[in-house]
Amino acid sequence: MSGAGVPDFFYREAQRLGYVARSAFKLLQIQKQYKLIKPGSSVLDLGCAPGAWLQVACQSLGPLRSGGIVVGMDIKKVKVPPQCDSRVQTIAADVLNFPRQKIRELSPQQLGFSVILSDMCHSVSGITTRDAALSAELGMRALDLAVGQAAISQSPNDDDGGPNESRPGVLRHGGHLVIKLLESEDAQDFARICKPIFNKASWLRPKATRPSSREIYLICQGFR
Amino acid sequence: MAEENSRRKWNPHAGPYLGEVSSLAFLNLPQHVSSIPYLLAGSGSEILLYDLSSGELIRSFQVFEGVRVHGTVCSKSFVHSAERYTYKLVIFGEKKVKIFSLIVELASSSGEISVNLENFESLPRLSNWVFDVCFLQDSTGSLEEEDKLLAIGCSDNSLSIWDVKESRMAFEIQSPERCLLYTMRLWGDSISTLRIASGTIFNEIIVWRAVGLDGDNVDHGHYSASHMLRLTGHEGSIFRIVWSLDGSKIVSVSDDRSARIWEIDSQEVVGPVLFGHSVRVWDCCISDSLIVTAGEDCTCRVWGVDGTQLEVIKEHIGRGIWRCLYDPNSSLLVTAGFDSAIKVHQLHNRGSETSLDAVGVLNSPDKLEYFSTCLPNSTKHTGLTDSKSEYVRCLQFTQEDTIYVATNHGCLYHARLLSSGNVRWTELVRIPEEGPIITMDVMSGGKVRESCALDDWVALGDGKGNMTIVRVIGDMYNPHAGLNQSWKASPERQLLGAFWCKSLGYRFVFSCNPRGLLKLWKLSGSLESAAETYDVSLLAEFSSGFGKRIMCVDASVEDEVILCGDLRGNITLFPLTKDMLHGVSVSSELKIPSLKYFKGAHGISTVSSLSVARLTSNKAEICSTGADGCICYFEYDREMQTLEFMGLKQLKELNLVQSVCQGVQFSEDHPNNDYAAGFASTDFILWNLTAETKVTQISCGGWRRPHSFYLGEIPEWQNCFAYVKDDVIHIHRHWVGGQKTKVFPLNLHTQFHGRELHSLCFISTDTKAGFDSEESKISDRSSWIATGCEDGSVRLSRYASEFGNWSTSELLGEHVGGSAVRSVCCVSNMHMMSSDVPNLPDMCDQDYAVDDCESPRLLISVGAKRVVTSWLLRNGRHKKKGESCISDNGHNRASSEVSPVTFQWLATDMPTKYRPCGKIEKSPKLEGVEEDTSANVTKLGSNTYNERENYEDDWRYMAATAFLVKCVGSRLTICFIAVACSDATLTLRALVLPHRLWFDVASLVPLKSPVLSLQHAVVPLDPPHEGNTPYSDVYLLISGATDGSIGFWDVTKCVEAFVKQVSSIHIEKYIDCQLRPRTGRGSQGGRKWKLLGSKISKRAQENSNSVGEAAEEDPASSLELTNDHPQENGKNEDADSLPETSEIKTSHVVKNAHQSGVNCLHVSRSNSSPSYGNGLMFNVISGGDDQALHCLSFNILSSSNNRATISEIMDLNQTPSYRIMLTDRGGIASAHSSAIKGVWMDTNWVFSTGLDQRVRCWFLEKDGKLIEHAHIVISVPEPEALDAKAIDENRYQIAVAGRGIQMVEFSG
Repeated sequence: MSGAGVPDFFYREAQRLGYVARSAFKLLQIQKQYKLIKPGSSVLDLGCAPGAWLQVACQSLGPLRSGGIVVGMDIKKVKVPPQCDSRVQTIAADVLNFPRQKIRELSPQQLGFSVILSDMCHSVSGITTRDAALSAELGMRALDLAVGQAAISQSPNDDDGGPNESRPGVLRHGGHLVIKLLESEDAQDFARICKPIFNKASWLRPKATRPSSREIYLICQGFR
Repeated sequence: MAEENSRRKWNPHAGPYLGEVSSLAFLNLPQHVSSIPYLLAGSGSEILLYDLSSGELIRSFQVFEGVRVHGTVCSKSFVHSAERYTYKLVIFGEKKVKIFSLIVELASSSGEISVNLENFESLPRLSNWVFDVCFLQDSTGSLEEEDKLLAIGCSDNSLSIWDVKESRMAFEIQSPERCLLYTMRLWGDSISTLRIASGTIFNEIIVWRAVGLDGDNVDHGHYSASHMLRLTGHEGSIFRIVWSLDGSKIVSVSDDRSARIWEIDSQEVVGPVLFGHSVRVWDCCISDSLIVTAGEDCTCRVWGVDGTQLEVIKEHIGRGIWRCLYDPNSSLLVTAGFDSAIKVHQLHNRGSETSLDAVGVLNSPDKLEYFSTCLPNSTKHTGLTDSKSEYVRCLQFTQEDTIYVATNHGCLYHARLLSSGNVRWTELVRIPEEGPIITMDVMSGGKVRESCALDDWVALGDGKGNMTIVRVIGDMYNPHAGLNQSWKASPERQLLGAFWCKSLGYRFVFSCNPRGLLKLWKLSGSLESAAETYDVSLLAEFSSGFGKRIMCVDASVEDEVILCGDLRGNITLFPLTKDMLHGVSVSSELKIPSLKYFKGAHGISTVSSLSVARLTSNKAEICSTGADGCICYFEYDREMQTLEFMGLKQLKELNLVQSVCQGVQFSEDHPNNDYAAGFASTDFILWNLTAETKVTQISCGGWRRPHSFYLGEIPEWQNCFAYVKDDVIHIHRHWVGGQKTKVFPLNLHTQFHGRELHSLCFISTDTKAGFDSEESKISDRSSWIATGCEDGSVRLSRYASEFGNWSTSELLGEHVGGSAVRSVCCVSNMHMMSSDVPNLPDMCDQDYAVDDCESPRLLISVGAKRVVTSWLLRNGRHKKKGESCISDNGHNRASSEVSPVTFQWLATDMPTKYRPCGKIEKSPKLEGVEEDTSANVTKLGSNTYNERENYEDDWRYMAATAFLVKCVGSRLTICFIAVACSDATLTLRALVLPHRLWFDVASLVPLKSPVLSLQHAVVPLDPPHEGNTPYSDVYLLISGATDGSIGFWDVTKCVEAFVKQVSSIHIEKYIDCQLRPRTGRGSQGGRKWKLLGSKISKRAQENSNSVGEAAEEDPASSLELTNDHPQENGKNEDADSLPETSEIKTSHVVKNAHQSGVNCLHVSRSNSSPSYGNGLMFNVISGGDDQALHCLSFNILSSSNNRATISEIMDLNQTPSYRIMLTDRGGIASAHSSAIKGVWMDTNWVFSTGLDQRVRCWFLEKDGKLIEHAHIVISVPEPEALDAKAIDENRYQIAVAGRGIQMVEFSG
């Protein structure tokens, strides 16, 4: 019987190749198909636990002399997983409450990140419509963090007021954004919001996704 | 141009949705209009209004498009004018809120109610999900005015106030705690008294309220949130919060399986914890004295305020009960769940005790009686019970107030339950030698109730082997024994059963011993004579081959058969000739062997009851119940003397099914219900089979105690149960005379699958294939749909077009072990194939017991654990003059029930575990494949292959397609099934009918990734002008894989080869008709005996050349049988290759047709002719995960027609004379805005559905181009399958299945 917890091909393949989770193959497919992370990129991974995407992101950075940085943030405490070098660092913080300026300071020369990966997902309750709504909420927070308040003028935003209101996001121009969502009606609003902001926005459902899962990834390329 | 004009008239219309119920609300009319409230239920995007008095659906309204109704709130105030009552109804779902005017109009003459729903206003789309709404009074207005404000609680812990008068958002209140919510509940009548309880994802409840800042003026006032309480204690997500009526308490249910009570206004906030659910709790409601919770374990539990659990209701199936609602005025409890059933119960409140009762009217007296009595002689012993004491051995009801009791002292008592609560005892007979009575059976005489006379026949068997027949005569008040006859029936301690048969009358009685020997005795003598004695003679002795004790007996004189069920779940049939009944006694040395048997009908569990009903002149239907919790149906053909398994119904609530009785149709208002009585561990349960509800439940300590029950005409309020415990006979009697208008629990909505559906298909009814004209008209108006579910159940649902609603949904069966059904397909087209075998066996004389031999109609379902199940379509059970005899009740009922479409379980196949030789065979092939790859990939493949062997249970069938092939001149019909497994293998299998044997025909060369969808196409070849071959078809398989490729496979040669092989083998030697699906506990047993029986059959076959029965499912076993007959093997050299599977390679692969998986495929014949050559053209439509539709065309090109006849035959046999031409028609890159899950096409139209909850209708142009014509938003979340059916030229029915099912009508 398929379902969560039953080991399948990707789980065993992840064990064989040394990845800490099956989700590594999702980012591998995204990387193979879209080539978001280039040598020397700066990558921000939101919701990075248990660290599989950090491993793939570090691999995609290329050799150590090319530079680049990978920052992983999660509400849980995440150690730097194996097969990662010194360019990877992790921060245990709530992304929703973390100040944006501090995130920007983590990027090289405080210029922002060239790739932002949002794999955030709350604990699923089994009520798929509620989980989809909550994942849309988390995705909206990630989008707001990446592109800033002024860029999302088409839809109402519930960001906190204050000094960060007029500041830009932490994503560089020309950068890429990956948001994980649970497929629902709300997910279509994301494509509608992101198409004017990015050069290209498309959906991807990786092969490593379980058949019972409803997750889908929004790949946004080229921040204008 | 004219075509486009006519095409514009086509429009889709959304039909009813049959799925989960997500919202419940009561509509309280004034007390003088109706004392019982009406029910508003939200299911999908609709609102259903039910009359709880009669259980009828008054009206249904479509309120949203695609958005599910999450909550319904009705205002307490109303506007009353003449006979009209206008309410405000707020319906919210996701981010939308709508306000309706609910107008209830009473017709003063007839008293009927007409309801209308008008759109008052639609609020603009909010930015967050709406969790609750609440009507508020304006603080300056008086109480008589309407509600002016509407409070809306959103999922970001904020409150929005909507001004109903001015139609604008007045203001918004933000909570200081900004967090994500799972639930929120509002309470209060005005802004100042409003309280908000929010359940956050941090497992806390925040209680806050709004505090005014600048006075009380709404237009100029400002409000801010004030924090009241933070309730901590739950260890999981909080799914539902409910306020009590006075706002002093909060009940919250959570992921940690508990419900908690919080006292808001007291110092001690934390109240009791209600812990009893075994999984997550979804919903709760509270009244002054009760708390009701509903959870994922499909139970609804009633608790007291102090935290004690009072009642457990378990009647839903699937993923749980979504909503529960309780009305304290009428004590009605409504539950609704994932299985789309809405059930109404009544909780009878007696002080602090609450019991589930079936009292219709509140003021009527409670008819639940309880008797407690002892044996009359037991008063002599005031001390402890010893081995000399008298105790009850047997107990049996004959009337609702009459029980026969037999004791170990050989006494037979007649106990009458008086209305004053006492029991009147009468000793009828005492066995002279004081042998202990072991068994007892009572048969009531005819017309007892009318004349008030007593005429019961009691058969007693005691420990010394004596059989005693007692005839009880007299009236109700003075029973006495009129006849007392004893004889030596068995040796000492060998008489274990005494049975009457209703159809045989009281002149014949059966007795049995522990070794399965059954004796038939005849009581000869004149009934009218005044003699006290009868002559007893032994007519026959029946010897069962299993050697187990007979537990139940039934007989049918017309069918000349005696049915026995034994202790180990076997059913045996003995011949019962008329000469035997009228003839003289036979020699006691002669034992009659069994006529037919079914081994392991209930596994290794006891067969508890049997009943036989006549179907036609030759066939009888047998219904058996057993201790494995199943009800099995068999069909016995008298002429052919075959016993076939027909169907099975597993009652998951009952561990042991005692008996089944079919209810009499009381009136037109009441449905015709079937009831099952049985035990669940220590409780006696009476179960309504039709409505799937529990009628009564009595804790009695288990089925091993002496017990008896009696059911009246309407078992909901006419049932008795008696059992013995600690020398006390406890009698629970619930008997209400007369006719009542209400039956609780009600079943308002059709019960459907309780989990997600994976596949569906229309059942194609062919009016030319044997249906009469009436059924043809019926089938024109209604459509039958087979659906497969995640929990392994296959259901038949009927959609009535004239009513526009789902009428019935019946469970067809379940896959083995509850494995998920992934694909269902209906096979009805028969393809003929010629056979060149010269030595055709002479099989025309045999008449096989398959209905409609000319064209059987099969339903194939495949799923997890690689289970393939096939079902055979039957015309229905016409139970004319059928009689069902329930042994415990002694009731004799005639039931006439016509079911138009039903399926008989035919065969189930599961693969056995891998054998070592299989592994050896597979390894070289894998190495061969790996030679073409690099070293790293070789290592990868090897590791994958090695790991795969350890997890074979992970594999499941993802898709299936099937077609029927019949050999000309032979009675064999072969159903070829192509199944795609999740380990990227594709197999062609065959089910040989009517022998129900499974074979592996071919293994299609494995692709790189698993196949998600399969279709087949049978293309007739153009016959040559001078050819002599009338039947020649090309069989194609089309597959869509997860890497986005579409493959074409030509399986024509192996299909033809297999048909020839099967025709030439004496397949009748492998007959095995004794198959039934395994259903869990107790049903796994009995299979090992097949091996022994098979060996015995083989020996008998070799010795006496008789045709024995061999239970063979595996090709390897048939290989063994073939090896055991070397002479036959010499004659048929092809028999050696039968178990081997050949390999077929793809003829065409369309790579990268989609970016990701091909989710669905459909094939249809095309209108247009191919551009070159001749023949037919076919279209293939595919939908994928990448939201794209893709269209291909192919046709079969024959070779030239200029060859001579001889060379044509040579070419036809040696090389294929056709080619497959494939044309890519392109596709639409973004047909849907999410993954496409189902497609269907015919010559003109293409329908597709996707995860965006839309059905899109595309027009197919001549050149294969797709133009979107229309689309409609459906109510089914997560659609998984789509099927359509052309009703006539201008009309289609489109069925979409996902979480629920919905029908869309597309007409021009």
